[in-house]
Amino acid sequence: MTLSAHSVSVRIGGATLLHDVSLSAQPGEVLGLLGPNGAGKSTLLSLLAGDRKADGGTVRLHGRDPRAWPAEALARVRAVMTQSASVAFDFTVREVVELARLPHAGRSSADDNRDIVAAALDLADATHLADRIYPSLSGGEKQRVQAARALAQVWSATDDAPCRFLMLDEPTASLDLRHQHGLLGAVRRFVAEGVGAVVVLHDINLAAAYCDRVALLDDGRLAACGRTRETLAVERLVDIYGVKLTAIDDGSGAPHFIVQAPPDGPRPAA
Amino acid sequence: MTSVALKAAGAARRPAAVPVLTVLAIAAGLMGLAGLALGPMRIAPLDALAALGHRLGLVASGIAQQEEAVLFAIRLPRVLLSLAVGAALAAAGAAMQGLFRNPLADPGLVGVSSGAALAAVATIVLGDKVLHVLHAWMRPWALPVAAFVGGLLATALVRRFGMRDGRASIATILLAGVAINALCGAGIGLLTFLADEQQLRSLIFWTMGSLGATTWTALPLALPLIVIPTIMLMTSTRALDAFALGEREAGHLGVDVERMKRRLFVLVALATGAAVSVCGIIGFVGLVVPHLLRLICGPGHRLVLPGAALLGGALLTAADLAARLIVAPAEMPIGVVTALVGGPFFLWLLVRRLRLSET
Repeated sequence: MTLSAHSVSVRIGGATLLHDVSLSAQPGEVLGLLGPNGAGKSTLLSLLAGDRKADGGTVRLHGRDPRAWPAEALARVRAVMTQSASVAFDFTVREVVELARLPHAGRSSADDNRDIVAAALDLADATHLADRIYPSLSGGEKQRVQAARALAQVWSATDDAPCRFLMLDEPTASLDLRHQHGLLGAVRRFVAEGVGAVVVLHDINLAAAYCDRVALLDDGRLAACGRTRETLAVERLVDIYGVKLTAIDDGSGAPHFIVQAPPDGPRPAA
Repeated sequence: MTSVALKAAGAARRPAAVPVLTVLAIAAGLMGLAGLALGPMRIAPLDALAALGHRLGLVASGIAQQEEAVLFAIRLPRVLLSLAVGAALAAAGAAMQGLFRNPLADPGLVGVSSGAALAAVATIVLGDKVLHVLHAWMRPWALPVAAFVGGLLATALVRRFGMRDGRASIATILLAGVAINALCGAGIGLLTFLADEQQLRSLIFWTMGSLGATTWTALPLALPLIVIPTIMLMTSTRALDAFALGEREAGHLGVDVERMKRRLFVLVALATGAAVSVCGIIGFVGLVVPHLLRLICGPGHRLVLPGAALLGGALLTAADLAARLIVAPAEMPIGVVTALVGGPFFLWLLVRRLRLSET
């Protein structure tokens, strides 16, 4: 168990954001966090990242509370991509991605850093944007650059811990169809090298195609957690999301879910 | 703010650090030399250099005694102070803008200037009734010390209101700063109303800034208090770059965010407080100079911070020279000069930005 949460709870004011959630993420696999808006996915991710303290329960990264890690060593072990894509001031795309190498100062040479930044930009299909001014990019382009930054931060093995973690909060939210698959493909390449990934996703088809395991959150509680195939059961999804849904098996290995619009809802004219 | 200009060019080109900093250092040196040479009594720049070299034991011959007296007793301390104050205000401005993720932030935002001003004005107006308890040698110190302490107190108050659950909330600090600045402004207004004519005169000079009162007496204490925090700011440039991504994201990159905010806050308050306490409020340097640097060499703080310090020193020395020369033998408040030049310059930037975005 290299990254785990043990019956964690988070309360803000009178609201319970998370209640008694336990799960673990393993090196070499993608763990998807799914659930409706407000289910607690981002809160759980921020606990795993060490951003906030749990009001109850514990979080362990390689046996230690992430909040007890020295900040720089933690940054070499895990990278986080939040939903915030804003950057103050007119940094170029390359400069933004170069920030990923801050925690490696003194441990990684300037040449290595440059190569890693270039390779990360390439993997996120953002090489052609490298000299652009970041605030001038579109939402999806920004998201690819932020993904490149997260990848560059944990690009190579570190002696701080036996394995690295990528934590991505809705990394595909603004991406077009091709880049959604491109990014999750890049994540799978990292995972093949032994990195562990925790990814918040809204698209159950992407989750079905790329996650080894998924955790389904509903109203701050863990509704189900396990192998993707078994956990993404149609009845469970219908129950949690409250939509009509069918699954198709086209032989590709991953099920496809088709969401049906409510039958009595308004429609565009035929 | 340069995005539009650079977008038009398609891509950003960044100049190398060493040439930019070298040019700015030379500019600061030249302005310093001009500050030594120009005034009611002209001293040839080479003579001024020779006299400096003589004092340091590098050159054999000096210059005429009267020139030497003017040079060392009046101009040298003033030039040293204008270089230091300009550097401190500009670097502190750049640090505040980085911390607040806002190009319009200014060292005065955290209350240090208005707190210092309130304390200074209180000392000018009410001081007569209190200061007689001090020894004679202490009296010249009363104003700068009161201003320094006042500035730090106001900053501490702003920070106190901005703290929530042991974390400094930048947005709340901003609002608390506005409130404390308004309160200090009210206090200054009240004291101005109470002041007699002579007090009013020194009060106006203080609130508009002046380097005219610079003597060697204050320098040994003021210079280190201004310069050391300014130099210490230079070690936080990487963290400031990370702050551009957001506080939480900076934390993900291994920056100890709360420690860094506290550190920047203290250093900016010390440098600005010390600067304001010896020469009053000088606006626009902290706002315009970092802006110029970002325009020239991009937003990376590793270049913006030292570059702003050098350019700030050069520009404030130039502004002081203008303040001395324009209405000689009288002097203008330097804050008037910086605002007169800084205001239109800022407007020009604004117009230029609009025009570029239209094309």
